[in-house]
Amino acid sequence: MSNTMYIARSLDESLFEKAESGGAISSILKCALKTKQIVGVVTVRTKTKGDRFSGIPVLITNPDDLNDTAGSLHCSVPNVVRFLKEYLDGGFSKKLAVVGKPCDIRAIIELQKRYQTEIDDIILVGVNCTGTISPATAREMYSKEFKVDPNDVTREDIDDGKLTITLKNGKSITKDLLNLEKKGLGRRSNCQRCEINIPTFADMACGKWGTESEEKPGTFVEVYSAKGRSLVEEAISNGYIEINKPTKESIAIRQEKDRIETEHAFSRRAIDFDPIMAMSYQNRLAYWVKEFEKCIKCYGCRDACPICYCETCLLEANRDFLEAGVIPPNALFPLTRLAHVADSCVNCGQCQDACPMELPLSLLFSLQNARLSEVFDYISGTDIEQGPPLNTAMVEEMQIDDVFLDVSTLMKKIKK
Amino acid sequence: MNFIPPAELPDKDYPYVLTTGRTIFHYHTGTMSRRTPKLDAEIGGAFVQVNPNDATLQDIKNGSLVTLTTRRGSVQAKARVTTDVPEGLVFLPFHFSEACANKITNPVLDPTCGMPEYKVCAVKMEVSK
Repeated sequence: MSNTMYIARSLDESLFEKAESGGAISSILKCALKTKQIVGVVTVRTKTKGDRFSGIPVLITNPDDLNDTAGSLHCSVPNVVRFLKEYLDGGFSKKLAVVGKPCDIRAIIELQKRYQTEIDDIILVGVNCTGTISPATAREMYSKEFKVDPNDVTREDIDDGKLTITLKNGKSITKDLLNLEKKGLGRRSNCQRCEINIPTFADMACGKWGTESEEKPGTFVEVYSAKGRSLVEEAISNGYIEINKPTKESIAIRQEKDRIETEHAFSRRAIDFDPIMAMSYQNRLAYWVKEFEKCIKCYGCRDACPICYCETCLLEANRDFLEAGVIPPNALFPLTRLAHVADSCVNCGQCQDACPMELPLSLLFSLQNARLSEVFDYISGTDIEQGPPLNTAMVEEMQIDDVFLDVSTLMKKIKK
Repeated sequence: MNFIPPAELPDKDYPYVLTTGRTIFHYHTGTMSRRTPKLDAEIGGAFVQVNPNDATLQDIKNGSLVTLTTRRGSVQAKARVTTDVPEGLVFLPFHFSEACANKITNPVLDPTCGMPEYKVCAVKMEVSK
């Protein structure tokens, strides 16, 4: 955990009321915009007012517009990172703050390693996350399990393994998330397997864990860099937020909640991964090839992947790598994507969301990533200093005494 | 309701059924999709799908230029030998004006609804000389 921790709440009454837990993030960003520390905020807003399933990434430059973005949307899956990279020049032309879940922040850090997003000026505001729900699944679940009109839901909250929804009439309903997930509902499968709840690698990590004992709602803010610190300090000195120090108990609660969620994720991983790993190599290959045969080569997974960034992709028909006009494409199509990004996959699940044929892509990528992560002691997107293991040779690797890596002998052979 | 068979079925001169349709990469006459570089790169020109058994009989190899002839005329397309089509049937997509499928389909109409019979006619095929 960080050495600098606050429990913060907005001093703007309307924000305090509207936001999820005290409106601290919105207020800190409002201050940053007003004091010109940044020129824009990349965050998420509903496309249609009141439609909680329509969240899209937006660029906010007018501080007052931040009011519309306050609060969490658990049932939208906006692709914040692609938006930043493709529509905002990767943050190179404007000084931006990006609000993101842990997977969003990790993807931005992976792109920073590849010089596709700005490194020095961009401010990463991480928010805690214990999972998101696909809009279609959420609607189905609200109608079938909660027996309510999905459009009547005004707020949802995931905590302590439970999903609580609040309705227009003020009533709230709570159901056990793991039970819903046994029925194929609940959070997206990648989220169920996600072990990173607090984005400690962002400039600041915010969330409600650790504020349970507070009298008024508040946001727990952990500061992880000088950029994050200056944002928070400006907001305090300009009267946008008030703060108090978290107690030891609060910190303990925060850590305990994180530990429990991480444990859930690992047990989910075991449930999903073990049957596949128990297959023989032959059966495992056959299993995946059968899945790949559903592919209609729409390129949705590649276009949604926040890590994929090549301007001319090897998989394009005019590259003559794969035979053009063939459906399903050769298994090399998904396998090439796997080889290119599996080490850096941040388990955001966008590939699977994009797939019209419902291939279990996130399962494939997170399984492969988990295995590589173990081999290379590498957790993608958490440390900008660590290069992606599949294209970074470490000093030890350069010294391996192996004929295939003996560059001088190889060069001699080539010259002959 | 009585079944009325197609107006033209295979015989010894035109031994195969020709059917027409779309591919996943192009839309109708291709006036838009064939100008889209990515789609054009996937499928750049006309092809005809032929079952491997029929291909062997006619000495057609994958990629051979094949002439398809019906009582209305003939078009040329590259062969794709595949089990995606059954024996006795060939499939010709209609996106490509240079091998215009509907030049050779049968211009008869359903007597009741007036729908043209694009999907069935008799055809012969041979490797183009």
